[in-house]
Amino acid sequence: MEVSNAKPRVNFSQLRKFMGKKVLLVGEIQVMQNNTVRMKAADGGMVTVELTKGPHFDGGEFWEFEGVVQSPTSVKEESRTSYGDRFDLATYNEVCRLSCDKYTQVFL
Amino acid sequence: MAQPDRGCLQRVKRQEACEGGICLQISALQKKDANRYSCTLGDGETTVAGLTSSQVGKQVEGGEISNWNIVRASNFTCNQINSKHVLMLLDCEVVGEGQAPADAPSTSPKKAPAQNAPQETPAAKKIKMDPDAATLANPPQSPLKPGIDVLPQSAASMQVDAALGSTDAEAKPDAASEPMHTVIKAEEAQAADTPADAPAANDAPAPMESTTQANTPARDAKENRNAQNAQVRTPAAAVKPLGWGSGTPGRGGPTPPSTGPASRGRPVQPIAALNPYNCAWTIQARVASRGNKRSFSRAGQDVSLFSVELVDAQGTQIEATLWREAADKYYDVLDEGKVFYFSRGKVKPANRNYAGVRNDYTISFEKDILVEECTDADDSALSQMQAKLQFISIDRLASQINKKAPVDIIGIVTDTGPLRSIKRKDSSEVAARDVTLVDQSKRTVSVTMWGSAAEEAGGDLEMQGGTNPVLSISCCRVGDYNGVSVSALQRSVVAINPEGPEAAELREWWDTEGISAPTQHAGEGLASARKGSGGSSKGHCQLKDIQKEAHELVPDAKPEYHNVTATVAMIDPSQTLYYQACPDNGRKVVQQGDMWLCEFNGQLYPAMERRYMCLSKCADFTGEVMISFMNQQGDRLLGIRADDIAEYKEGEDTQRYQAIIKQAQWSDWSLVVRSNTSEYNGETRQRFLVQSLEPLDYVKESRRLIQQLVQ
Repeated sequence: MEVSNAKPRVNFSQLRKFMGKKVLLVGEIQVMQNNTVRMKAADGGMVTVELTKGPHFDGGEFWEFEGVVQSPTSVKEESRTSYGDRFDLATYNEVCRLSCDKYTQVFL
Repeated sequence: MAQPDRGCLQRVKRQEACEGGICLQISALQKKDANRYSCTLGDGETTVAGLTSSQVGKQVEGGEISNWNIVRASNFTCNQINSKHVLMLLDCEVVGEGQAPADAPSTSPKKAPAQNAPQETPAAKKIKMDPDAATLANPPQSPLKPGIDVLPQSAASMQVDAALGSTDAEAKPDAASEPMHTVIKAEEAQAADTPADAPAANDAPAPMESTTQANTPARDAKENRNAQNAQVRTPAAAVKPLGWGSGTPGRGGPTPPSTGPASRGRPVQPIAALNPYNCAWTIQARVASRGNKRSFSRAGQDVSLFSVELVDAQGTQIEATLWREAADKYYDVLDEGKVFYFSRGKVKPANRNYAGVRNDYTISFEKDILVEECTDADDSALSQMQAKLQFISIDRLASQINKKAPVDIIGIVTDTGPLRSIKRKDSSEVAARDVTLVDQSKRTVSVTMWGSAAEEAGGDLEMQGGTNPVLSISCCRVGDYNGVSVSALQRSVVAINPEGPEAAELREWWDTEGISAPTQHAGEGLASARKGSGGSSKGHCQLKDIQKEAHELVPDAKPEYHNVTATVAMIDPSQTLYYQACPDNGRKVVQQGDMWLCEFNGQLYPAMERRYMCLSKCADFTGEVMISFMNQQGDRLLGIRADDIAEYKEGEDTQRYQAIIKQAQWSDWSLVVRSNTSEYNGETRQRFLVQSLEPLDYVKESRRLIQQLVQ
């Protein structure tokens, strides 16, 4: 893993720690509006994602966005990946938590 | 004691005068006609055929004279008839009750005709006819003193035998095998009562008194004993019990010394001295526990049996099994807690596989068993008849897991579970109850009691609620459920708040520190505990865990089941993959012409079906293992039925075949793997078989992993 280019996986609650940094955010799309989407992050918080790659979302409700944290509630997209329509957010939430708390050294 | 005049017959035969009459031992009395009897008269050296006059005959008839008595013949003649001497008894009186010498048979070969039966008195008859004489109560009409624990039949049979003038085994009364018992008993008793005798008292003992007539009621125990010695000769030739019984340590040991008729000080051996090479022994033991009577059929016959655990005053235990007639007769007799004398059993090496009693030997009793209730053991002997319990501390239980030998445990009860009911394989229900014990090692363990112990003792514990009594259980098996678990057996003895130093120490420890000490389950941290706690016995493993080291392999041990998540890394396409199977039972079939012969049931089938026998290398991050997939598991793994894949494999379309195989590779599965250890060609190996498989549920798996991380 490239340490210099580390992209931690975050939940809503962790966004504020990574202001201006690149993160990976996974969530379930709730609302689509022009150039933004609002999605539910793994810990339930709603995040606004500013789209830069177009408004097309084929393939499911769950997406992973790689982007820069703009504010504690929004992220600017750099790229996106589809996670299909079956994804267990609860488990993912745990993973996020662990990777940021206990096992940070494994990920970063 | 009166003795015959040794050597007098010689003089008599020589027609020499004998002053004051001669003392002879009379035997083999047989009625010839109205009032005359033929007999054999012995002087201790030789014998002579005898004939009684009518007068003497009347004495015999009246029961005054009977076999083995010492009579003083004051008037007699001795004539020679056909070169044989015959001594005619004209006048004689009984001066002593004799005892048949060991070599008596040679002098009394005749079987007794039934006419001699009248010699018995009504009282004797009563005893003989008592059908329940096999039980241990003395019949009221017995001439014996109360408190004498003598098989009444012994008196009877002894009487009959005496009357019949024969010591042959054939001369048995209707009580089937009782005389045989009395024989041995008699010998033992003889040894007991003739301490002056040399141990090998079998040969030519001094004639002793015999009570053959029931019309002489006031006989004391000693005479009775001796009376039985009327049949010292035993049908079982090899017996020489006296040497063993008398004068040896067993004799004086557990039994109280003779203080009177009530305590005879029978020659009893300690159980510890039993061995297969000595067949005539008597032990005095308490029935510590009695198993249920069960029966099975073999060769069309029903055989019933039950087992008891016996313990003697030294605290040695041994298991005894009673078969068939012995089982039927004595099941109700051998109540737990009672003390009996046991004889005539077969000592055999014990089969250690059956979690047996702690003894190298076991006793097998059959038809000729001899059991006698012991009513004269004093309390000190009785109280010593406790199996010495060797308690093991709970933290050391782990070392005893799955060992055959049972353990005794003692601990404070911290929790009593409810009574529950378990259904056995044969659909019978059995009560069970779990209790939690703790001891000074600060470890807890769960103990399961079954049957009556669960109901009664367990019920008591439940009622005692918060008092945390001390509980001791003997003979438990240690298992590996939850790491360490303890299970009582049928014959476990459960004691609440028992006596003894261990219990007292436990109580003290509990009252001072134990009650608040943090405790740990005895099975924690053990490899087997990881397999599951409180639920299924299968926990999750990694491939590394299911493989055992070479030195741990136990051939033919029980198969083990594991849950693993693994990737099917490689399936060798060139392996056989499947076999030709019988559609009914899946066994191998052999082609015979157009048909297929199943070797197992010998039937012919028009068609066979292929079944998978696919070996694949499975791997996870800890290691790799060769696991085989059979039948339906193979179907699922490869996604195609064996018959279909055969077409591709054996046919032209090898590419298709390879593609199928390839597709199955690197698939993730959640497997239940069964591992077997077996020996093949001298090599002991583990074989793994997939019991069931599921595609990996990632969510579930992730959760499980997270659980592991979080803990």
